[in-house]
Amino acid sequence: MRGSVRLASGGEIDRSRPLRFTFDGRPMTGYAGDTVASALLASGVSIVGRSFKYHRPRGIFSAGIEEPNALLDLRLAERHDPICRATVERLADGMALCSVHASGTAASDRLAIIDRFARFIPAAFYYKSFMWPSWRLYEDRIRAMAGIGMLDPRARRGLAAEHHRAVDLCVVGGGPAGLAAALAGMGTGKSVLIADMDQRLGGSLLARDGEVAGMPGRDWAGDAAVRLRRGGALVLTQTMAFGLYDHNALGLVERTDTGERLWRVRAREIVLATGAIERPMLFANNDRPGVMLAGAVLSYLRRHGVRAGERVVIATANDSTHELSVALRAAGAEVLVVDARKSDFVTKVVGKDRVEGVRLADGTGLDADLVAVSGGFSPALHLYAHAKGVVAWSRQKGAFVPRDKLDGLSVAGAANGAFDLAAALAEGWGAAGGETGAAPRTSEPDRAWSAAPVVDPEHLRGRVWVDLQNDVTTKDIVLAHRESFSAIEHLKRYTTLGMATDQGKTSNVNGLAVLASLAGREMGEAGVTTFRPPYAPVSFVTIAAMHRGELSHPVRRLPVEPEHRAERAHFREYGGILRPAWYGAEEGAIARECLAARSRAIVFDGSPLGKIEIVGPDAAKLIDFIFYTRMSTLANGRLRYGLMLTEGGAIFDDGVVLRLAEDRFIVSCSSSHVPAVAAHLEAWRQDIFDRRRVFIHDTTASWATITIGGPGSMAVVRSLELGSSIDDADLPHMGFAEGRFGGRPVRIARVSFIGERSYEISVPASLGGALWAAARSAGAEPMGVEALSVLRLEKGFIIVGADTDGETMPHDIGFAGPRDKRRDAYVGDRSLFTEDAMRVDRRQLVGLRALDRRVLPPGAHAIVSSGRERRSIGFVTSSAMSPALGYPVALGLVENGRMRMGEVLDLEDYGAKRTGGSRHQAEVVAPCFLDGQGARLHA
Amino acid sequence: MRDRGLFWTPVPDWAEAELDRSGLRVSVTRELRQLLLVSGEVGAFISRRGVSGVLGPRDLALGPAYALRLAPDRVLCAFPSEHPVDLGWSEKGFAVADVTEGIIAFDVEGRDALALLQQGMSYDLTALDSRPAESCNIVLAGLRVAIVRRPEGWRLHVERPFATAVWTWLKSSIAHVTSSGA
Repeated sequence: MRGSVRLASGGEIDRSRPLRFTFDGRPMTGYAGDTVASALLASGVSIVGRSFKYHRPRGIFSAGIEEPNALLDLRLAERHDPICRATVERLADGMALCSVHASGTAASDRLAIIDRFARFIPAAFYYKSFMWPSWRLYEDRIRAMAGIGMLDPRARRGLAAEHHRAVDLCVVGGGPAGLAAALAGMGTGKSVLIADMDQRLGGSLLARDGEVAGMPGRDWAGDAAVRLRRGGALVLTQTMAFGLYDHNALGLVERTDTGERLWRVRAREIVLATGAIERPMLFANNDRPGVMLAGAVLSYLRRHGVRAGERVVIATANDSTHELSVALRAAGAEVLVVDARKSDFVTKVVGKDRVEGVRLADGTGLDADLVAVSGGFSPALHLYAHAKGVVAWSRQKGAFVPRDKLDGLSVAGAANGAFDLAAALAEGWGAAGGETGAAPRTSEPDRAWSAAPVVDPEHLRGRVWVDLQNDVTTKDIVLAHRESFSAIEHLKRYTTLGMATDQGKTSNVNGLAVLASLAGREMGEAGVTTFRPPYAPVSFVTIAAMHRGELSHPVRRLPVEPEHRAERAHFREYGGILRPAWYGAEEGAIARECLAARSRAIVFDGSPLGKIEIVGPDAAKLIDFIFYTRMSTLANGRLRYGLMLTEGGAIFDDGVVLRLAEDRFIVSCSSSHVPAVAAHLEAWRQDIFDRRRVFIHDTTASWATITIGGPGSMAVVRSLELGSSIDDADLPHMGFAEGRFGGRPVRIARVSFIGERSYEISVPASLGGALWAAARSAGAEPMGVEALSVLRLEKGFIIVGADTDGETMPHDIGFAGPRDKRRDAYVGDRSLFTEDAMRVDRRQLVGLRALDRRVLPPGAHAIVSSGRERRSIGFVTSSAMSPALGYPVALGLVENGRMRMGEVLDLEDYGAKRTGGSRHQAEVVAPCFLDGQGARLHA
Repeated sequence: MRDRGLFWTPVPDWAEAELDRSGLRVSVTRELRQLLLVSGEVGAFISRRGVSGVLGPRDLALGPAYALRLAPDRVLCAFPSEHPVDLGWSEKGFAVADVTEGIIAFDVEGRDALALLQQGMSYDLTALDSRPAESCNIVLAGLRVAIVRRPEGWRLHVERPFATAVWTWLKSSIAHVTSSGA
């Protein structure tokens, strides 16, 4: 700005430490202690950006988080912030700053011409004009023009730290009320956390005159901060409380030299001492660079040694600006105060790209380069609103204030409408339970801070800006009201008033005042919009904190993983478990592994298979109730396959049950379903069983399960010398034996998921690697999950969740026996007899054999046509090329599938539609393609 | 298809795993030889095994043997030596399972131990008042761990399949620790 200068002395800056930075390519210098905004002002920059819609020039407007204009693109080393708020960002050496909403630079924007057509593009212009033929036709271009900031896909930020803290008292805001609250809390023995957005505690005391406890307010604030730290309070500066959630949980973001830290705080009590936000005045061209909030002008002067103007007009409606006029005059500025309370109004700012003068209500014209405005103060009640607090309009205070006291939460100081220093100190002190009469004292006299928004239609001619960030004028509000969008929430959507990154911090109340004036209502009757977290934008990176990359959704790991890596396994995640998909890098590895299983011997890591113990006198009753197949008839040391159902009768999971003793069973459920099955069992145990007579213990993690299968598997297992006979007479299919390996117990289960002779050998987890190595030495070849999926598909063994969906019932896959025979209760029993369950056209499991050699796409639908009507009668659930058979095989769920044997279905793959789609034909066959008699299990 | 084994940090060699920096040491516990999951009349079991009582997360485990409350009727018993035990159901009214191989325990010690854990745990470890019903199973970094206070710091009992994830988190978070915890 023309008259904006850095003073030779004063402020918190360190003039011995210059910091170099650039703005829109121009090199500039600031000092340590500057914010980006103060450094730009000191460098004479008046235009820092362009407005959202009309590309009007905009300058720095505030000195805090409420800033609507000074949003900049910031780069510093590897850091990139596409919408850095200049008023709260500390200047650092080497910063490269650019305006974000200009075509060119902020000072020279090629799109500034749009403003000349402003009268043709009022509020809702887009909604009305870009509907034909389709909004989509215009959307990309309009969004590109309207966006604020541009993400850089190459930009990376490291993991942000995250801290959790539980405290007795959390004070939000480090101004006089907040400091008094924190001191009071500490004095009563509470653990205290105090957070403030500024670089230091003090709030308004840092810029305003004021005496507290016999010392200058600023010194008192510094002293209080020292006392708090010494007393064990956690003092967080540069920290924003962005959200208040249920049960007094607070989200804070702390800015550090190296990035940001997320704090998750839980407090027994919260004191919100969040202060108040100064309101602008309404007059024509009140958006010109050089129009600033009066408190900001004072802050830059006192804290950064920057005098923002030389010829200053102060347009005010309260006493707060008296101090500013004195301070500016002392700094050598010419000052004229225009006080609305004396019917003295600024009606218009003169100047094209910056303030060059003002016109007053009486027609007087004045030269000026800075207009400092103060239209009253709006308590910052966003966090109070997050906690579902309701606000009410106070005519006396000229502001919305909290209506109710909430449990565990107090609002104090300016946030509660207590703008005077003495009242703020007393409120803060009292809110934290400080001793009555012992609050810090001040000799500051009370002032007239309050001021209702001044809305005089006589003085609202021209373009009067209500919302600087969204380019909303009083005319837009008039238009919205004329078109019946007069509820405040409707007005917000119609005009965009109060949206975007500042969420109307400086505009909401003035907008409401204009609307109330138009509607002839009181302020309190117009309603308010809803504040939701975050208070100001927080980056996703910070919210995610440590939960990124490997720490986002960690997978379960196998005990034998090192051996798999040594075998050059190719890993994939299956149901949240990192498992070998296949071994080796050559093409055809999966087919090689399949053929090895059918002709020789393979070794497979089945460690994640469930090992959930059900123990106790009522174990058999519980397991019978949980399983669709009765299990209590199992002999000790025997295995049985079964299904578990949901209460709706759908298949929940399948698995093999081992009975170890009369009162001890082990459920070996699907690998990825273990946590869910354990929870399912526990829920039913607690719900309907005697909790003293049956217990669930998930021991899955304790065991490594190595499966050795294939025609050559018996020889391999025999060579392991497990100390137990594995002869078929002693260990038949679905039999169980116990032995020793490495001096430790071993469990051998003769079960198969591949249709070959197979042994599942479970050893203590730390011995898994040794067992794997022994099996490999004995000639077994490693096999991954992909080959397993093909082998079980050849046999028609289902994978629950892949070959079933949330509606598949056991009789749909051919297991109708228990439904027909069991008379006792079990989970899902009644649902199997509903009208829907008995429908004859239910989708049933079938095999699908493609008529050509193409593999059927999983998910492809079977389509039938009747006249012009086409509909799906089912879909492919699993599909693969069978290396053993030499042709593709598939399973599917098809309406009335078992009655369609031999029928040829037309299949369409919608997933491939974008690439031209694919059509297939397949014959419906029995869902078993290999060894239907199961002879290979005994080979 | 991308090999996801390249994305995930390999399982560490637990015999060698250790993190050490000024004021903070994280290591794999070597002194536990037997971990048993006991449900039902847990008092009847632990009294026979010389364990004085059931601990909550705020209690201090002074001796080498201890029992952690996981649920109202379930404890995790830890012993420095292996003793024969009948697994399964006991007529005394409790069920026992051996989970020694299924758990890896980490000791987090030093003056910054608390600051490290507070990065991933909303549970208030600073409060010392014991609450009778609290479970030692607490979420750390989104994962379930059974935690107990030790004279030198804290001990985390982690299910083996997630031990690598917890270790990776400890390794990543240690860089953000400051002595003040702030």
